Amino acid sequence: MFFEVSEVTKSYGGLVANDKVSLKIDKGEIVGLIGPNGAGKSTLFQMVQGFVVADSGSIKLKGTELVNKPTYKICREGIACTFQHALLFPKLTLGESVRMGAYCRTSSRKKATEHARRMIEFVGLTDKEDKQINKLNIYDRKCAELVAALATEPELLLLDELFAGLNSSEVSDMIALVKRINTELKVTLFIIEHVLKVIMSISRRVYVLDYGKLIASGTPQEISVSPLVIKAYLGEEYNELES
Amino acid sequence: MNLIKRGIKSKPTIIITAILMLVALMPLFDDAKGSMQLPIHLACMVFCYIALAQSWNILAGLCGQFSVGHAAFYGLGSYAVGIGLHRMKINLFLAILMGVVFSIIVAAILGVIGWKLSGFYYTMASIALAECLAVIASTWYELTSAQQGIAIYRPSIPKAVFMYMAMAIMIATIIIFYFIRKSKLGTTFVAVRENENLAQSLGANTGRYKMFAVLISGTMTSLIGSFMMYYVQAVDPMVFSSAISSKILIVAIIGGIGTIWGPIVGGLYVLLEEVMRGVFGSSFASLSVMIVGGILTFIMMVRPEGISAIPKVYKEWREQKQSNKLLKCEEK
Repeated sequence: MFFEVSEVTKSYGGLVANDKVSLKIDKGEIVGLIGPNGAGKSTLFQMVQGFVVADSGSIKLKGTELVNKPTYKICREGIACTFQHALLFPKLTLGESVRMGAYCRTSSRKKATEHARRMIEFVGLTDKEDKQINKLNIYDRKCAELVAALATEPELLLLDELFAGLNSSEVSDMIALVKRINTELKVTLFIIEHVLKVIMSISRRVYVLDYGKLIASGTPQEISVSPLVIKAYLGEEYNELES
Repeated sequence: MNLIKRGIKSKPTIIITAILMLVALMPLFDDAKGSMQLPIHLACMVFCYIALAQSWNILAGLCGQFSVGHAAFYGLGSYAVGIGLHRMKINLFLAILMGVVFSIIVAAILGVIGWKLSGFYYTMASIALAECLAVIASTWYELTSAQQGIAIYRPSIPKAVFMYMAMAIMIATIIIFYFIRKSKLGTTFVAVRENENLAQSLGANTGRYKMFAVLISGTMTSLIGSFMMYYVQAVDPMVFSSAISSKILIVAIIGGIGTIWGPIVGGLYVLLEEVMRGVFGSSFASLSVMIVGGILTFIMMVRPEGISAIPKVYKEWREQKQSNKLLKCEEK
């Protein structure tokens, strides 16, 4: 199995954020993770990245156990992520931020710069390479965070609400970019998303979390008709979307 | 190689080199009365403080570890030379090495603190560390002669020699800063400062980098402390005081924290302070402090990024103005 989460539990005091969550992802897939606010999606991501240590259960990438490993080692194993709020490194230039990601695999400035250039070219931000991050607009900043993560040469990329705050044309640009990352760079993607239209259009499989429990999984079509999911999360909202 | 070329060719480098050359010529104009002795001494102090501020800049400016206890390293370097030469009667270089070893130990302690604490708490811990050393220095009479301090005897060396050495030390710290900033180390330092979680998720062992920063910075500060002690020939527990720590960070902040030009430009502060003290003499000492404080406050209000940011801000302002003009032309 490429990536496997089994029976992971995490509780904060009395609140169970993740209750025996198990899921599997094959190489090359795009998998979505949805659920209402406070369902434990971000907690699950943070556990995969090593920011939060699971109480029990195991998380494995290609057979390597990730629980209890520090974040930077998990990154070197091949998992990268983008954060919910794309802050990046406000005072660094785009080029240097991406180089920071490239330094994960090399110590040579020359190699890192070359690699960073290639990645920036891939997302089409070459003309903004020397701009400071806090002078970029929100779409470019999200792209920048994506490139920085890609520069670490990940096999699995976690995207936490990458599409939040983008307008509809930017959303379709970003969808195209994410699809290219999957097909051209052969990166497996695991996506948390609130914009349902997005998750339905790009992911082949979707997991649904509610109150820390995995309540359903399957193709977007299966999910959208599952009564449990409709009750927990989609409700009237999705029916409106359909019509 | 490209990096070196680009660094040397930049306009500010040429200006600074010209100023340094003029300063280097100063000893030639010395006469029998020694009228150049004071300017030479001032230049020496300015160079030393620029070097100190530059090494502080690596830790606080690049890595964001805001230490206000840098006097700890400075004092360790100074006391090592004092104790080494005066009490233990060892070779000067061994004494300096001793200071470096103790500084590395203290830096490691501060580094471990940096793993656990950040922001204000780190700053407070760093102050406490320097205070601890101050207490040791002022109570352990057998070792440090307490408040009397230690005086050392050295062969008389002309002040000009010390000035050239201070200049060399300053240039060395600037070059070290430049190469750190351009390497993986510097990029990671700034990344840790800007967003530590993200730096970690991009594969950087941030705790280790914070440790590197404090080790490098502490060692450099200790070496400069040793040099200054050998120059002024006396050391007392005041070297651990917050006055030294704050002077170091004022030099860096007033010039522009986190930039290579910051401490260099901020060196003017040391000059200003000394000149003010000279102008007003000891009877109006507090007046000079007030004036210097007023100037500091004014600069920080007008340019919080520091003096060295002024050309950049001016350039941006001019570009803005030009683009506005273009826009107006297009409208017409």
